[in-house]
Amino acid sequence: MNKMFLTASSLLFAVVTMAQAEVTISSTSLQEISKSTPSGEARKTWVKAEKIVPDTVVKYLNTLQNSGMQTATKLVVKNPIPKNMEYVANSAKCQSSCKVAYSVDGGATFMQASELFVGEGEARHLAKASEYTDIMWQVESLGANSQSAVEYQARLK
Amino acid sequence: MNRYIILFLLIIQNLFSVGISAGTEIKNIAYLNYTLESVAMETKSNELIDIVDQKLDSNMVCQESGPVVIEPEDSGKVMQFLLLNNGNGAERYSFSHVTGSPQNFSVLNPKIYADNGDGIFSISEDTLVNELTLNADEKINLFLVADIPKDAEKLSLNGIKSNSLTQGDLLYGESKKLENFYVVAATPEEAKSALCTYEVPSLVLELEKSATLSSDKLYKRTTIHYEIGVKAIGIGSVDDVIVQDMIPKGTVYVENSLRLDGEKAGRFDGKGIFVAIDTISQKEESEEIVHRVTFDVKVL
Repeated sequence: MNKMFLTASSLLFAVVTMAQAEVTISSTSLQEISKSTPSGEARKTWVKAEKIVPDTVVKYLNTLQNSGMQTATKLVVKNPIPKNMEYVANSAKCQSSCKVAYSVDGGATFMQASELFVGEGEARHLAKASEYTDIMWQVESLGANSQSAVEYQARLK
Repeated sequence: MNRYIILFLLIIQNLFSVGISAGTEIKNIAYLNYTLESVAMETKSNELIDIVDQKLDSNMVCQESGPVVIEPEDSGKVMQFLLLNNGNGAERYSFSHVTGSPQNFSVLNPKIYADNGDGIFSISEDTLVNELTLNADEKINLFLVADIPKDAEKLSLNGIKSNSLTQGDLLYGESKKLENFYVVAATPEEAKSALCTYEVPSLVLELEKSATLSSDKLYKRTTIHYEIGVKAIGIGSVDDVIVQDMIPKGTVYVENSLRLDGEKAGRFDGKGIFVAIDTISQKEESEEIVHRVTFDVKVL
């Protein structure tokens, strides 16, 4: 009887915790366009991606929202680079401090860009950005009721 | 063996590939793991889908390496063009005959034919076209075929202009929604048409005369060696060419000294030399000396 009570109270605790500290992630795509300022100057700005043709660079913005009452820690975002897109070198960033790592094997392993090699024997070389398959961001923490974001750019083949 | 064939096909595909096809879905999804009071949590983002839009990009190129040489009243003279669809989707074109400058004469009955794939014009095998569709990366040879008027002379620039029906009235850089994606006009105006040249050949002859003395100055009995270079300028043919020169006063012609390109030729009539060359023809633009007439005179 006591055992059943304990299990029920544990479940209740978990449900309450999830309700209090839900972290969500949402993805949006942006593209850079040139806009003229009133003075006639051309200024580049990112807008919602609408016209994507080959060679277009798309910025993917993944927004993290902690709508709970507690701090979330050890956040790890993994984003496979979409099929038919190529990662743009050095474009993976985050709003707060984070560590970025990349994969060339479909997300099985992640490493720093300087440690990522592909090929075998004489063909072995430091992976090019276009050979990356996945990106990973590691964010230490995200406070209660706060928001952060990670992003990367990719070019349509 | 099959691996090599597949690799080869992939290389070929990449050589001609100009981008991911219009209408393709690009999906992005991100995965999140985090810890909350020692409890591991995981979630994922919405599946973001972008549709690849169509870049309308084509290029018309003249395939002739030089002017198409014609004669007045020629019929069915052919110029070859190449149209490439560099875009990432099918594009439909209509065609029109265009002219450029210089336009010393206007061709008659211009018609446009689509090649059957062999790259050689054949009125029975190729197709008279007003419109056609090219898929992404596809290209086609087009032929402009025209008659030449009686009074044709010098040059006439002619060509084909492609008008994209898919693009419609969109200006360069503009876009419009088509079914579930946009089409973006990306063909510069100058790439839509190309011109080749019809040329009625004209060959101009020029003479260059030089003299060499047998002594340092002109003395009695000094021999003067004359060389007349015949220079052909342009393209074409000239018949019945005769090189004629008078012997200077105070000199006498040296018997048997008259030569054409080193061989005995022509005649001396007591006053001057005459050398017949018959026909001089040239198929490529040049300004070279094509014949040399030489003779000697002696100072009295």
